[in-house]
Amino acid sequence: MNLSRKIKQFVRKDLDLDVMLPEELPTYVSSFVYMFGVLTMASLVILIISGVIMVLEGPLWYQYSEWGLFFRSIHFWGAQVFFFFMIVHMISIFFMAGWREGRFLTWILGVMLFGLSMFEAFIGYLLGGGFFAQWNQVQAKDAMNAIGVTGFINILDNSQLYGLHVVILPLLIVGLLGLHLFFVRRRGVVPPIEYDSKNGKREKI
Amino acid sequence: MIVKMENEKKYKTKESDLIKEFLITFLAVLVLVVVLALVFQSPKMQPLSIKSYANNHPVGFRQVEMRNILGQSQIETYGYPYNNNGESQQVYIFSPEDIEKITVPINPINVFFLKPLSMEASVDHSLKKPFEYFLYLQKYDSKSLNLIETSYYNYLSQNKVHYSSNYLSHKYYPVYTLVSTTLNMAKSGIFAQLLDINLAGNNSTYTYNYQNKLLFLQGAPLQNLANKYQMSGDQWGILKETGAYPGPWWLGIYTSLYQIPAIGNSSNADLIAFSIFSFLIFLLALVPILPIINRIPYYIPVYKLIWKRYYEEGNR
Repeated sequence: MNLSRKIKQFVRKDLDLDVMLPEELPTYVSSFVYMFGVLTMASLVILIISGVIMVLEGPLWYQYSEWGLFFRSIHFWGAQVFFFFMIVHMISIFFMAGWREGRFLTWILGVMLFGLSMFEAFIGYLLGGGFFAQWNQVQAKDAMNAIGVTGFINILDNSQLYGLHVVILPLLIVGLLGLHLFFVRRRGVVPPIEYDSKNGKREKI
Repeated sequence: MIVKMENEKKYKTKESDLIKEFLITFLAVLVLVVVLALVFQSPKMQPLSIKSYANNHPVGFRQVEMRNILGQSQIETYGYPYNNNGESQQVYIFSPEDIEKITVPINPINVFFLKPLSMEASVDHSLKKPFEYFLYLQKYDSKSLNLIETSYYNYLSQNKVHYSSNYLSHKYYPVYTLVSTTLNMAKSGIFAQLLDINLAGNNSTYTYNYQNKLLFLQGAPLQNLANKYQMSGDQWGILKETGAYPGPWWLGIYTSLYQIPAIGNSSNADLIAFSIFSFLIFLLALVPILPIINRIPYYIPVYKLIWKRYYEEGNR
């Protein structure tokens, strides 16, 4: 097997820009619910940019300086809107039966992103530096101990949490998001459930 | 292999600019987040430090130290991964703790009492005598030592009569002297620093591991504050940030499991809750192939609203 050839074929065929970045979309996409995926992604970009600025300056800066606290606030509210949009996106995709016509894997990737994001954001809360962080670090250690992972990830060790929150989990999330988007574009945006509004019947399920 | 938007092409299309749409969406969300950040800012409540606890609750600090010395701290009977004195959480025969065993060994009296004192004794020579006497009693006359420790702990708990420090240091020698030393060290901030340094050896430069600091405070000091702000586990505590800020509300389902008495009161609560939640996430991933569940979008036709315009226009 020629790996170089396989990769070239993949890039040429599967990453075809006409498929990945179309200039025409079906009219049904104008329904506002399709916006929530993009809104989630926009929130993620804000989280990444504010996070990178915070990492550059360090924890003391974002906990005690005026500008640092401002960026921490952006990061904090960015996470709130990120989850709001993500959950609305998930609920709307559920009611659109968005897994139809070969989109099962896209759904699974979305659920994985949801799970990883929950863990990532919870660690973010634990790194917040306030009483909530301190108290819940102690509380969460019982769960981590119960599932037997403390030898691997010690939730009371902030250096490990920092690495997870800033590098490892974001890389996984961005990677999975890339795959999620790849399949969204490859399969196309989920079309309407066929329904005849005149006789009130579903034509096809 | 590529589907090439076959499905989409069956439908009427219109021109679009995904990049421009994303940039506009991004700007809109950015404005929203900046406004939220400016108006509401972010949680400000500072963490509890050992230093502030020692200064504000000296008796409480002494009691924490005495529980560490007497082997009555939470860690003492915690079990894996800190020691083997406690019972592991278990769901049927599934017990990950038993597989992990001791990976982060902690002996409370050593970590929270003897090690910081031994470091202090190396610079404060007046401490050498009571410290060595304590070690001597621990080794050769633990019964007498335990009697002194117990009676001093009882004295602290009763809190009725207040004796002078001279009297106390004589009556409860060397325990009172040593506990007073750790209290003074804690008041100055040194005690907390020594706990962290001890984690990685005395020459450690980087001390971002706050395990020992947190475990020292995990009993009464943090619990009392958490109770004050109604943040304990059975009060949906994980969802409540300080100062009325939203906590990680997306963990609501996970937290709700702890509110079920059969789970919350169980000694295996954490493992049960984690197992159920993991299973729920697994089920969520399988929704497309779960009978009945995958029909809900057809039974509750929200889709008629979502694609209202499409149906009205009788598209294609």
